[in-house]
Amino acid sequence: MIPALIVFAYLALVLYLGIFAFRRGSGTGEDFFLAGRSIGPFVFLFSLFGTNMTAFAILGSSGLAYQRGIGVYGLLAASSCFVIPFTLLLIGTRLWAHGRRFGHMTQVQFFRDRWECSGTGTFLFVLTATMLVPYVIIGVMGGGATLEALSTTVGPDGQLTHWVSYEVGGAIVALVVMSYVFLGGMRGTAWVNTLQTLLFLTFGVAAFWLIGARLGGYDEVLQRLAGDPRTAPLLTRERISHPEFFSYFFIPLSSIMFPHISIMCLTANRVSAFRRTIVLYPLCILLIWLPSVYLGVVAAGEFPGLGPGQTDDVVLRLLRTHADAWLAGLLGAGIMACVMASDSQILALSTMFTEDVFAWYGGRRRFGAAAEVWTGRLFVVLVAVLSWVAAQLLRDRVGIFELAVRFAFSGYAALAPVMLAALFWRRSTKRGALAAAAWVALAVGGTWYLHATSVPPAPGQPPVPIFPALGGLLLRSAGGVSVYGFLPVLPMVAVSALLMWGVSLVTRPPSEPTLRRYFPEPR
Amino acid sequence: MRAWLLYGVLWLAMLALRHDFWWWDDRRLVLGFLPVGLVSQAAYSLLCVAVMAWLVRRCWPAQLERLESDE
Repeated sequence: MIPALIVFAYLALVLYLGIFAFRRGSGTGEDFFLAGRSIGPFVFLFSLFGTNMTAFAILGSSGLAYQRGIGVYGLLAASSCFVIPFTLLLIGTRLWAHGRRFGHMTQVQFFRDRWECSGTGTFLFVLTATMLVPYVIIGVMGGGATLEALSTTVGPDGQLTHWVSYEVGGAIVALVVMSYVFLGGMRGTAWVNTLQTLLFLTFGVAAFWLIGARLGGYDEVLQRLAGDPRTAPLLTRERISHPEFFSYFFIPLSSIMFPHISIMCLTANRVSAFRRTIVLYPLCILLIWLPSVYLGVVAAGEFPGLGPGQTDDVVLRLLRTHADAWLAGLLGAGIMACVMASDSQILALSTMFTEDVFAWYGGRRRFGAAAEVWTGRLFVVLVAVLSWVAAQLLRDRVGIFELAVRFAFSGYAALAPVMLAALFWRRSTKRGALAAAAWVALAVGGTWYLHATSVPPAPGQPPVPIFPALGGLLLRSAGGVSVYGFLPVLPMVAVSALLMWGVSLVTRPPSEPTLRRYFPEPR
Repeated sequence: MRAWLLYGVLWLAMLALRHDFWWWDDRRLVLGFLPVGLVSQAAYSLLCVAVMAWLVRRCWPAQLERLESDE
């Protein structure tokens, strides 16, 4: 019960941060949605990293490492170590500059202004918002499940007692997130994300060493794993194919295209705030992911025989078994904080709806600027309530949302060429962007359809062709659909870039005054 | 144009370095508790810190800082 009490204390603290941020706010739209573009380098680094670090970084990566071994680090974390800071340097800094000069608060505002378009912007809004919704729902689901797991006690007869149920846990998480986002807006969200990152970096490393000490050192555990033919492959990348490993390098392109990340880029007070973030980002990834993946492999020796659906809580199991209640509670609060990363996504949806729909289609003109903040706040409440309802109604379908999140990663990654073209290519056009975005929507939907309608091979068997007449073009493995063994993200990014380029060349570019605003340097 | 060439070469180099197939099924443990494949990927992450520090010095968009001071 102690872990649950510490988690509740943490929830009270983040609520207080929201109230404190509310008192610091000026009440304008820019202040609520972007913290008045005033975030300094320290908070910018940790809030951006915390926003990107979802429950998957801790729970999902450990669970996946339990099944597939140490290669999970290279698969997801090492690729992010290069690609995410690289895109922050190339794209994030430019987005920040345009936002500051022209007052944009969302990606769609930038696209509309850059390409002189309305409908294409609306299409991009619908696409990016739709791909974000599953994240918010899965955050509430994760909150309920984590709070239930942390408050579970085992009686002398082995009977499990859940002091906080999944339903109540989800409601508490949704209520707390809703409250501090409602009150504190971006400032509250950035502060909470900074707290969560520092908490997890500190206690995560401490827990790693303490669990190792309780196990009598990791040497013995790893030697045992290496000596057992069933677990020895976990110390290698034997369970990951070369094409899959290669493809994952392109997945982190999605990061900068997530609405909540690009909006976060607009909050920096100076462009120099990006410097430290870009350099230290890979180090933060290393400190969070390395222990998580390593503990997932260690758990395979400690709790053998868990199936794919039972491995997401292996870190919590290790904590329950090997850490004392206080440390388990502190780390539980850290895990809870990661699960609650849906805060910035809820705020991003609210910002997008308010700016890209409400304000764009006449709301600002009719009701005034003050109505914007209240529209945003009401939307925060609406999203939080609907997410909780969805989390209850679809609890046994969590797999669908996990799948949606996986497809969304590829979808956002495939939108990266659209952003690059907007920022760096004068000749790019709204029709090119529309063609690329339509392709992304089609490809995400098509991949989903193929995944849902094809039959995966038995575990341990090689992938099977989905359409035998096409040979190895489209393959189905237990993990999903692939194209000649590569993840769909590769052709999705390539075709999106080609469409952006080809269609732009044959359609009319924006007017010269607009081009001069965005490309003031002489050609 | 030279900057884009640099970005392209860097992207390909980092893609190739990450794909360290030579450790793929190596089960050796470094210091008795770290799988060699994990050590190599952790080293890659540290290399990324160095690469980013270099990029920030070499390719920093200084024109954006000028924009800031113009304001």
